[in-house]
Amino acid sequence: MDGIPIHFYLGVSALLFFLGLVTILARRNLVYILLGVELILNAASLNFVTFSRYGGNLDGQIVSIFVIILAAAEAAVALAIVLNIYNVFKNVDVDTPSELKN
Amino acid sequence: MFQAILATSPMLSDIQAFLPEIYLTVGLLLVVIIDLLPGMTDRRIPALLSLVGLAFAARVLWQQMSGEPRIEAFGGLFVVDRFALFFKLFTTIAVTVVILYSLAWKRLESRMGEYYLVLMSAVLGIFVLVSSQHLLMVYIGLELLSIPSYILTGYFKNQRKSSEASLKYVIYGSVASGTMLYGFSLLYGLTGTLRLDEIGPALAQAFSESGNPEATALAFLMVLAGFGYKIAAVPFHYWLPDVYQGAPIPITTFLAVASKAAGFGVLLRYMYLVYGAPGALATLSDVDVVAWVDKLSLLIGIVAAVTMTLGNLAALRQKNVVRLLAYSSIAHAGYLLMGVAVIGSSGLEAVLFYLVAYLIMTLGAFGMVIYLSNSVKSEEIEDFRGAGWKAPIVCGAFVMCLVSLVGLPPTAGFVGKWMLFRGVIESGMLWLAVVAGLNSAISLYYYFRVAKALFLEKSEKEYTLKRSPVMAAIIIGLSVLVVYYGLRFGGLIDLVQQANLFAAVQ
Repeated sequence: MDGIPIHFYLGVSALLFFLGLVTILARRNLVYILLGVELILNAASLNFVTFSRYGGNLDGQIVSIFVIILAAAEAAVALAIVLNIYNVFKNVDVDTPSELKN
Repeated sequence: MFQAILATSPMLSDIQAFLPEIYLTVGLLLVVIIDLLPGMTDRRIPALLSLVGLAFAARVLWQQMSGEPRIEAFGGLFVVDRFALFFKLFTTIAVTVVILYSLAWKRLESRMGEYYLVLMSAVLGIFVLVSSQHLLMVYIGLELLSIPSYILTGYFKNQRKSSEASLKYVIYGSVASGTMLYGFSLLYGLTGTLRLDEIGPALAQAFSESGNPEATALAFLMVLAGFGYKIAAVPFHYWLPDVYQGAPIPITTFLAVASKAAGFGVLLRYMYLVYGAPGALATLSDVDVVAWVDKLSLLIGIVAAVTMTLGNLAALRQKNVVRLLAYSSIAHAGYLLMGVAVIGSSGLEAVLFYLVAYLIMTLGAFGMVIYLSNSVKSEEIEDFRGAGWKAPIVCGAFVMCLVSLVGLPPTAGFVGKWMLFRGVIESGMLWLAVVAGLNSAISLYYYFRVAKALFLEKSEKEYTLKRSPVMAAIIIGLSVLVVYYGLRFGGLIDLVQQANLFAAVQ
């Protein structure tokens, strides 16, 4: 692992972040949007672990464990909300619920 | 007795600093247990338990307020200072009123155990958030506040509006918190530490050695996205009107007051520790750094100006009073950001003072919406026509809160705005004060449109206004406070000065 320069890891994490962002902006299906959010969180996690490995303290590794836990909690609530949207609107498209407008 | 045992053991002093949070946790666990017991059909019992939990927490907070000025617990992860206590007491008061509103609002009649459980965990999130001095704690606190907020927004799960609002909230919220987390990871990479008080000096050192303003700016902007979403600053405000309109109105009140104040609390602490504390960036005399901090201040000033202008202009054409108050709360986030743009003592004090004024007047305004919508079954302004003469004292009190929201004397809103204006003018941002002044003039129009509908227009429908003595007492009490703090603001200014982070250092 030490043979690999740090910017390889940072490049992968930046790529993950932008893929997540593109997924959220381009996809209409809510499940895909949630997957995009997971990509962003994993990109941040990867950054934390990388900086921890190269920076010399373990704080980043601990943060990444917390991020995994909190991402699970957030995904649980988000999926419950999406399920509820399906029950109410019979659809999981992000554009279908549009009753709240000016 | 419990506290006496804790005080004697130095090992447990951390726990003692954490006592308000523990009381809240015990309260919310009791809500779960009581709710599961058979025969517990009275919907007031969980509310009462939550209020008892809040009261115990408030008692400890009050003791801490007269105790040591600053306690660090859990190895510096968690800090109890006057600033944190200010926000915790603020939240306690706000949530007490929100619980009373929840009891009074007629549409919340179903099973209530979960409602208070989730509300109390959001309060716990605010307590953790405003006390955190570590990036991980900031993230945990923010999620502990956000996740219950998503659930509460969608509490009416069969209603289309409520479901839609929770969907929009969860998507915007999770993207913003993910972006913020990525910013945190960059800050960690730049400085090698997660403690906020160490990040400042480490960042300053990295700045003066290698000078990496691009990475620092990127990290800062990404973190600002997370905080900006919480306080609904432009361009992270899109979720707010829909969420406020779709959520149950007591929850809208909670989001508008407690959640927004918590966002400002953590933003101020972050700005101070990273950019203003001794050894941090803003204290360096390096020319590049001074220019960089000036740019930062200017950026926040621009965000403030755009936020207040957009909020006020959009509020002009609203027909639904909740949506109108939602845009007005965006505008107020803009006013408050003026104080954040002044990275210094006067700005911070002005923000804290204005938050107290905002708490009182916003609680009053939403209270009136609940009071009227219980009878009218709608939140459209045109349905409120003529209601003023059916309950003149309560509606008069509501108009007083509106006057304060505009920022006219003799109200707390006026004093708060005056402090904010003074702060930005002293730091040389006269243009921002001019923009804010114009905005206040615009806001006069739409607030008084509501007052006009209440008192000067005739109702087309016949209805009787349901009396609610508790709600009336709360609204009148709040309006009295608005005027009281508008005339005798000395005590409040003392409190705000004690809570000032900058003063604690000097």
